[in-house]
Amino acid sequence: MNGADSCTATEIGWNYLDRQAAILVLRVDAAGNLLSANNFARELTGLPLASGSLGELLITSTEAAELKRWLTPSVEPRLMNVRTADGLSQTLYVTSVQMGPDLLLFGQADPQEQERLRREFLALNQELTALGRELALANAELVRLSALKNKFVGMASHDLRKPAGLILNLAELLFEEPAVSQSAQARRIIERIIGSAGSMAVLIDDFLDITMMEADRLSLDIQVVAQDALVASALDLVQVAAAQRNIEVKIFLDQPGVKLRVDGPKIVQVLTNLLSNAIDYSPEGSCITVVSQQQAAGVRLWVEDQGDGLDQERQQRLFEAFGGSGATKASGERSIGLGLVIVQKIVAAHGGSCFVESQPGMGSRFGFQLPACCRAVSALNYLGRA
Amino acid sequence: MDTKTLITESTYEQYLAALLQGDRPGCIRIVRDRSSAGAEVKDLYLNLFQRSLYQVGDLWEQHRISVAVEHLATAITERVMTIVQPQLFSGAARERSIIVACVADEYHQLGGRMVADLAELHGWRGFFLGANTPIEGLLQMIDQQKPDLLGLSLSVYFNLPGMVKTLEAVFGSFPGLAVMVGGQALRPRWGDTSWLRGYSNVRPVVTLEELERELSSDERG
Repeated sequence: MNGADSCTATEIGWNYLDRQAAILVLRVDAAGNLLSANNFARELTGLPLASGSLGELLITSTEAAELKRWLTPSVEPRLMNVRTADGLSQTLYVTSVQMGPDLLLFGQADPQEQERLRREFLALNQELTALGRELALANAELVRLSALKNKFVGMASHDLRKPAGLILNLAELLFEEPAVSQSAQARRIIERIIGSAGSMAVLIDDFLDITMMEADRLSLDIQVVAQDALVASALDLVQVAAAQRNIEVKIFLDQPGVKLRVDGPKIVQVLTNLLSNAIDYSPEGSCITVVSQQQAAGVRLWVEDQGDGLDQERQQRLFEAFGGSGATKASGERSIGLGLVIVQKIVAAHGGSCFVESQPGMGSRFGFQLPACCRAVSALNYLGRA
Repeated sequence: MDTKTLITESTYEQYLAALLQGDRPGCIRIVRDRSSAGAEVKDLYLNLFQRSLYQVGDLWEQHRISVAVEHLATAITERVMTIVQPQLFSGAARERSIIVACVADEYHQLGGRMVADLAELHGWRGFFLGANTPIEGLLQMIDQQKPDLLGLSLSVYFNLPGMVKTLEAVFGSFPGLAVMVGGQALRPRWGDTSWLRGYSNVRPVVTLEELERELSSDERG
């Protein structure tokens, strides 16, 4: 005979319910005070349950009314949402039996309900997986279409470049013809052709640059070049436009002779773009300033104008493709809004970043910062601390 | 109910019945139908999703439905929200941003997701970090994204200490950050909200209707 033989079946059953069974067992008095609870109840609720009220277990904001309902015996299982140790809840189906003046409550989870929940979640998961797949496919198709669009724009721009250049060259030749130089009206017409063909050529170049960059084909040819030479080259390219509008360009380089490790022509393109914008959006007879500053973090270069300035909203959209479109230049022309996107991509390819500082009516400062590694000599030398 | 809504009482009752039965295809059908009929996202969010989930919550609280039914209703709602998701991200470029997160140990994420979605509709970039966001991860995200607003969600009042701990950590690192707190735990029926008085930068926004009013008034400036 072992130890269990000395116990009655009822005692064995009670012990099992008290210590092992995944069934909640509570004994409460007629007022709902807890008299005892089994191990499962204590673990589930995280409460000692040696005293207190049945109401402590319930998820409810109307404890008194709710409690009354649970203090009547019911052999029909009733749904009880119990507050669990983790602050969440669990549903138990509870029957209650009168035992003298007290009430015994037995509660257990419904395994069929758990199983249904499991199945539904699996089905939902499969549905979301299918949706994720559809999304990935649609995304792949968009990437393909975007590449196709880039290819098309690239090819079209490439093919348009030649005729645009030809129109420009022929118009310039025509301008020199004696018949044209003798007619003021013919000169005006040819000048307009030259101006339009020039704008078209710039635009086509912008489209080509953008498509190359979007196709991740922006390769840099890094060389050591003098910063002064880069600024001078950019200035050469915009000198005529500045002179036509009687705009003076001043240059302040804090450390002349600085050498940079960059793709020279591309940085010239950046500076030219910033200078052209400044000229386009400045009033006639105003002044534009090009400034460079050597800092520990790198090289900071900017172009300052005395134009109308920009509000916050416009500033935030400037570096998006076509974000600056619709802006009216001082000449009345409309911008297409690609130049600054190209600027940003070139600067980013060098590891730098662009910035704009502006206020309506106070002019603008457009510039970029190149990292210290773009300097051909240690920053300390330039900062005069070596 | 909003007079411009395309969610009639009968549609709502059908949807709620389907939701309580765990009838996912039925719910999807109703949402697709209303969406095709031109129902706006906020109409669906406020008059169908939020309303039905509030009712599910009430039924659960009254011990009339089980936790399993409540969980299923939540999961189905998350699923039907994907139907209108493409509409959230169209539109103009986002100028302001909001980070929305549930505090540590808070697993009810649906309300927070709705907040981030509605903010998107109002032209914000909504970063939704989901349930149970660890404080360190949240601080890192705030540092990276530098949001204009932080939204913290608390559904279970029991998790209030987690909310307070999160607020202390956030203000310890970002003292000036504007914070909005919301969720079921802030409804007066659940518990005391006097703890909010200690934070001048924190605004309680409990329901989606309140959020809508906040976001709309913000747009008007």
